[in-house]
Amino acid sequence: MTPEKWDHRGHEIELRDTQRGTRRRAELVVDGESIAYGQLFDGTFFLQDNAYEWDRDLRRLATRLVEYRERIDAQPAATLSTKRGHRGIA
Amino acid sequence: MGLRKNYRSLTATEKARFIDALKQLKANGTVNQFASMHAAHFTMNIHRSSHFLPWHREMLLRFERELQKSHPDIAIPYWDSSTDGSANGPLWDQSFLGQFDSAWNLGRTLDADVLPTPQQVQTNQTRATYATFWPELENPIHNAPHRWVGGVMAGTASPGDPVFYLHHCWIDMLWARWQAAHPGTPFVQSAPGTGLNDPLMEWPDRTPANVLDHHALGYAFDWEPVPVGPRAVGDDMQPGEVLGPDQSITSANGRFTLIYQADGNLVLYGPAGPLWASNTDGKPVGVCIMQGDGNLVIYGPGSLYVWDTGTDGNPGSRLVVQDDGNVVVYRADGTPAWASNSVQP
Repeated sequence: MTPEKWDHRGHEIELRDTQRGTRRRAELVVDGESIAYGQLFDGTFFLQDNAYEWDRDLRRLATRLVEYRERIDAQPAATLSTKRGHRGIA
Repeated sequence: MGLRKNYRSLTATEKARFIDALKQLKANGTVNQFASMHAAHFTMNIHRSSHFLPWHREMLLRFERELQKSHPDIAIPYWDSSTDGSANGPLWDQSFLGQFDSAWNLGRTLDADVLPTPQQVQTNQTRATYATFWPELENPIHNAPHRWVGGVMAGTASPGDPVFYLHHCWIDMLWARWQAAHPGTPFVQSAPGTGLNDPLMEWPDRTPANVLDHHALGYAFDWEPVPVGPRAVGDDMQPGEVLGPDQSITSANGRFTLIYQADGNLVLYGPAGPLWASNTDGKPVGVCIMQGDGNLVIYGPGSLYVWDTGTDGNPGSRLVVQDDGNVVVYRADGTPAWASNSVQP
């Protein structure tokens, strides 16, 4: 993987090449925050916090995450119990 | 036995039972167990494979059985997000699923994405093969509502939000509807290990072959047809004749009426009030039929069994509402096979 950094709608997206032991893996970073991601049964990528947006291309997935977060942040506060960033089960 | 229907069609009692059961399953850890299980298998073949639909059918069935420990008549309702996409709709009312957002810390965002359209759903229903049907049903039709709800519902532990079950009940319903429209269309595996007889994740003794027929699993959907036949008239029901909701037959002397009520109860009324009942009010409502095999049966939509007289094996039998207040199933040779034992002096 070639490390990349680019701007999307004012947000900085970065793919970093990382190595754990003998395993190399791309780290996805959006606005300085490391974004957890995984791969589905057929190799398609998904993000832990937006697990039902799927793509073969991690770059496209990162840009869609930015857009998804923008939509959430643009919603009236009355429709949200909490802003994005929530995860887990009570 | 359960009739899965649009949540908008639930009675107040059914809604209350469902909500109470969800709270019990949250309290005893079942909701979180299902959420954790789903998250653990998220990257396995429960998604992006031909096991997507059968795996979730089995999962919903198991969750429904847990709900039914609270009340046996509970069936998971469905949410058709292609026609019901308002963030202010009754689904999200505080008296229904809305209350769980803060109580269970679900972090719903609602309206953060675009829901599937009825046209997308209809187009998907026309796919001729399983291999072309399920991938499109999974994504975008299934994925979009997960994102639209947001929060826990948009994560790998999405069954932590109760709307997961209503959403997947709709997806399961769309599969059942497609199956009904494409009878005999074979299950096609998408990859090794995802075949008709390959074990489902988590439940190695279960395969897609075990869940293809949802009726065999004991449930039906509200849109499914009920058995039909000529309407019974006069004082009897001949083989094949039926009573629909609110239809009745009356004894020759006019004193006793057997009515299949709109609430699902088959009741015999005399001059002083009810004399006998099948006690099936609140069960799925469909039709009461005097079958050719001699059995008087109440069926719900999808021929979902509700009640019977247990008199099959007596072909040619007929049911009579007698002038003495007794309702009797007579065999073809004239001997009684069943009676309501409600003779009036």
